[in-house]
Amino acid sequence: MRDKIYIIIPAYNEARTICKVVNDVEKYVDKIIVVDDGSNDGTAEPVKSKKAIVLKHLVNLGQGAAQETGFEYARMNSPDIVITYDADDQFVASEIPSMTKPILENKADVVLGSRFLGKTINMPLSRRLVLKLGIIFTYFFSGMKLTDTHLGFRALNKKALSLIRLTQNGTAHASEFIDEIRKHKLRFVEVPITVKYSKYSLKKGQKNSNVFKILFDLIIDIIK
Amino acid sequence: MLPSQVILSAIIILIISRTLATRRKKNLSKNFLFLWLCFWIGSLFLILQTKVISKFAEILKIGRGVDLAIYLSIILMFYLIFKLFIRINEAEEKITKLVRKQTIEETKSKRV
Repeated sequence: MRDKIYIIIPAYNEARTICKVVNDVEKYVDKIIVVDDGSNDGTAEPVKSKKAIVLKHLVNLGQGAAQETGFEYARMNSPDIVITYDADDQFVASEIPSMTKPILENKADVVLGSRFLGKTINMPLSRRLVLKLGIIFTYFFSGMKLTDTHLGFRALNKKALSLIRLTQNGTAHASEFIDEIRKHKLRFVEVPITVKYSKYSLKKGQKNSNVFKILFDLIIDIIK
Repeated sequence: MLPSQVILSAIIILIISRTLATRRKKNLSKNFLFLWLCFWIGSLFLILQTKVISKFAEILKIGRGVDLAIYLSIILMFYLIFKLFIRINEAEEKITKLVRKQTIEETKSKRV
């Protein structure tokens, strides 16, 4: 029997791209979970795919919170593989099979996409520098040697899905995700993927200055 | 008594009297009210008995009593800000749990 594959797409005000993203991923997965994180542009409305279900947060909580809501819903339905994917059309859907392959071959519990092993299109230099800093920071604090620590394109098997719990609502969830892998001693691999930067995705996505907020959130988490 | 002591004492007495007058309207807990009043009464005492804080400053080799008061105030403020951050964080966690629960239940009920 074929493995059941779900994809979780957290979305906040992505009415412009969500339809295309859902259409692109449809043929690679069995179920699409769009988590509308309190959007006010009608993000959820154009999603019409039969495979898609929309979970709608009443208020905007953050990408981390939206992802964990997707995880919690997925846990109730026991998929074999869960993929996380961004709603801003930065990723290439045809690379989904390369993300699931290590799990299907039982070589990993978590697969992390890496734009630095793969390809980036129109990536600003400032973004590259900030991400490289993030890699150093992650290595320093968690001991995990990775080539890309803040990418939303990941795949988890059943075991990883049952163990990983995200408590960071904001963008610090990416660092928390890495920490969860280390904490639960999950097997992981990095896979080269493509990230396309457009004016839209750069405007919508993380600002470079978010790095301070991420650092702050992580420090508060450690202290409390 | 110095003019500064008079002004500060008047302000503190006003704060204490306003707190007592509005305590029922503002629904203050007994614990908070107690701590709040202790803080202001204690501050009033130190303002009127400057020799006490000056003595402490001398023991700690800090200089003037007012310097010690400022250092202690800064430490107290940072501590309170930190506690506030923790409380805000906890409130955020509760809101997240509620919103998530409501989101999933709403989805389940739509699919039934």
